[in-house]
Amino acid sequence: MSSKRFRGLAGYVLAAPAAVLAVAAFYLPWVSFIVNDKLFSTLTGRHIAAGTVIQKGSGEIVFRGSVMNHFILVVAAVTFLSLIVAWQRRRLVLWDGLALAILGAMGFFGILSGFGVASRKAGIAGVDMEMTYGMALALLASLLIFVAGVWNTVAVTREDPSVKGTLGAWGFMAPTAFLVMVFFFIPAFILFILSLTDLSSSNFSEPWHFIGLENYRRMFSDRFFPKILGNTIRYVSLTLIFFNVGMALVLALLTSHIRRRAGFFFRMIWLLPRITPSVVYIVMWRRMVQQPPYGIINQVLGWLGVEHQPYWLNEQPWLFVILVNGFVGASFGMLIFSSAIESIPKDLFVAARVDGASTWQIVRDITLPLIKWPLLFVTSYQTLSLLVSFEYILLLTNGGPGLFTTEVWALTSYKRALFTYFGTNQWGYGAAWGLVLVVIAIVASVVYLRVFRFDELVQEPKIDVL
Amino acid sequence: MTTTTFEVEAKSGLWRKIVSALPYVALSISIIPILVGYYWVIIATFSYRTEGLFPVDANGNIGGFTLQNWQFLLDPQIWRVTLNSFLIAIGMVIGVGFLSTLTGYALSRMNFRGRKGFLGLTLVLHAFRPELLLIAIFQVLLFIAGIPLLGKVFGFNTVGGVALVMVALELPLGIWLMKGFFDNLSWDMERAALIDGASRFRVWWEIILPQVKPGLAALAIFNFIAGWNAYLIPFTFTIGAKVSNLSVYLNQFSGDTSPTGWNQVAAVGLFQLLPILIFFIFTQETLLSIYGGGAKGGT
Repeated sequence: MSSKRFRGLAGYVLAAPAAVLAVAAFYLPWVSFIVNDKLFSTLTGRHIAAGTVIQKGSGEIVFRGSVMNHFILVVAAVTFLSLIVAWQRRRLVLWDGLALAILGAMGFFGILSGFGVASRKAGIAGVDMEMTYGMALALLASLLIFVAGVWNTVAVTREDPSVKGTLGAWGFMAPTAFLVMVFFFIPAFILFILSLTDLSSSNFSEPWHFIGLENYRRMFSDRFFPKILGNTIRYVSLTLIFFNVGMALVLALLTSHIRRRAGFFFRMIWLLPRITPSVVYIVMWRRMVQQPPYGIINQVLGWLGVEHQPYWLNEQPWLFVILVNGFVGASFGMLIFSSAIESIPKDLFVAARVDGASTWQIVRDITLPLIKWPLLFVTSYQTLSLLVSFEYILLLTNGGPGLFTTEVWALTSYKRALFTYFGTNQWGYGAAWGLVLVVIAIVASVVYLRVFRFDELVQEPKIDVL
Repeated sequence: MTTTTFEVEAKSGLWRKIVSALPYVALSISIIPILVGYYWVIIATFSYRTEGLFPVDANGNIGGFTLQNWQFLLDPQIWRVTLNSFLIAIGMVIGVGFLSTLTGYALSRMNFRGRKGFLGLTLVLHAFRPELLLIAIFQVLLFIAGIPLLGKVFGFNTVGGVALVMVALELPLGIWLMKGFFDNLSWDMERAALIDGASRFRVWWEIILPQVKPGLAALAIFNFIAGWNAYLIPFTFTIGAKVSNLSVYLNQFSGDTSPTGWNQVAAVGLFQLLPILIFFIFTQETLLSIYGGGAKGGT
């Protein structure tokens, strides 16, 4: 027993000194720089703890840091915390190993990336970047922590065979779990942090600051805030009512009440806009709204003797924003409603028919009540979809014509952060707009999960026990 | 009984015919904009110029058949962006297919700590819309770009990075679909193999995978279309022609071209549409089931 415990703790024997080594190697040059200002100049172009020493064109020597460089501190702190907890517990659990392994790997790539980013910036500033011994040692220490983590994990597995099953299952899950972590959780966290900063392309390499809720204050006091909010409500509600639910319901009713092959044909055609590349789809619509002699709508109007033949996208931007999105959006509801209608027992219709009900009465009193849940599902699901989607508006009008005419909330967020908007990418400000929608999306997804009983789908597995 | 026909007890045969034709008329009218759009792309591709619905020649008379709009095929640039589009699509087919099959299998068949939590999480993420995380994913890709070697393949401004982001964002849907397929499989064969001492991985590879081929094929079609059509993510995370894809190229091209020259735009558009149309013609049933069953709302 004791030998097993020793084997487990042996991982920490490796990890603890490595963590000390990493912090020391990383920060000692920095400390010496604070103590002795002259030493700083000898470090020009060096990537040391917490950042890079750069000599500006003016001769001034400055120090540029990034948060990522301090990650090694987190690695060390968690290593020791984990050691203390394990020591108190007097035995190892799976997390003691996994946490160290994950931290070690993250520290390794964190330091490498910090160096890479610094090199690129230094390259722009015309300075050659060198890796210091301190950095190399810190990299080595991260690797040692990783090895210690694997060691601990192996020790736990030997001690408790049931862990092996869990570990095996997580082996199947690991790549997915990693990607979900990197592309869902970490971005959501970054978005939150970003929204509290003034990070923008104008001060990307300069120090940026935490500015609290300033971005949010600015957002709500924006001159165009009411306009954008109104646009969002208009876009979501009109598209939803007329197409994603309204048209979808009409199409589902019609296609399921005609011959099966014909219904199938019409549904396929309605699916086309969704599978057409968005750019090609927009090209088609742009061609329809062109001025004479190119535009198709105007040609038809000409046949009807209408004189007024403008560029329709500028004349009626909202009509086309809703049409373009609606023709894509209707198919989702159409397919859900169709399968719901087709699963209604046919006897009900026959019985109603025998009793002399009209088609409208049958739809109102039998079909609609029976597809109540699909209706609610599509409505709520598509509300969220529309609220955060902006690709087709971006391509069609880019929020124009003019100022903010068709700009919705999600598009504002995207453009502020990732477009060179009024000269700069305002990541911080755009993130504040985006975070509001992300929070709405998270809350909505959890509510859907509860309301639509998705948790009932979380059925017990066909168990391992043989 | 396969159809739900509403027999209208009308007074005359003619009236009945008119009423039963109404749905067809309404549906036919509803699809006109879609058909017109496609009609224009195909006509414009093979003509000198179009005015409204008609192809015209240089003098404005109807006609003007030409193949010169396809000259873009001689431009090496188009093949580069086509290759990039193809790589993104294949990356998604393989990446999402492989990972969601692994994960879906574990969630469906194995009992382990954290299973319920992860499954609930997958469901939440499936309903969650990740578009606005792009702002922060930008920072993640910048971070990856800083790592030597890895950054060259999966960092900001690489095809690999675009594909990786797309795979990650599509995973919840893929897992959700594949778990559904696994849940419907019989457990007997698998148990027999496990009793005979096969490893979990071998069972997954040799027994399970062949049984879910239809599901995997449906997921592959869905992902190929999503990857091939992708615009927003490639547009956001790439700069310059080397790494852009067909959608980004086409959007740039249509913005740079005056309405008179849109026949070439149409030709590039049709070029991008071809694989989609092939899927459309040959896999209709599958398309309807994946877009109706598992797929997200889109728009």
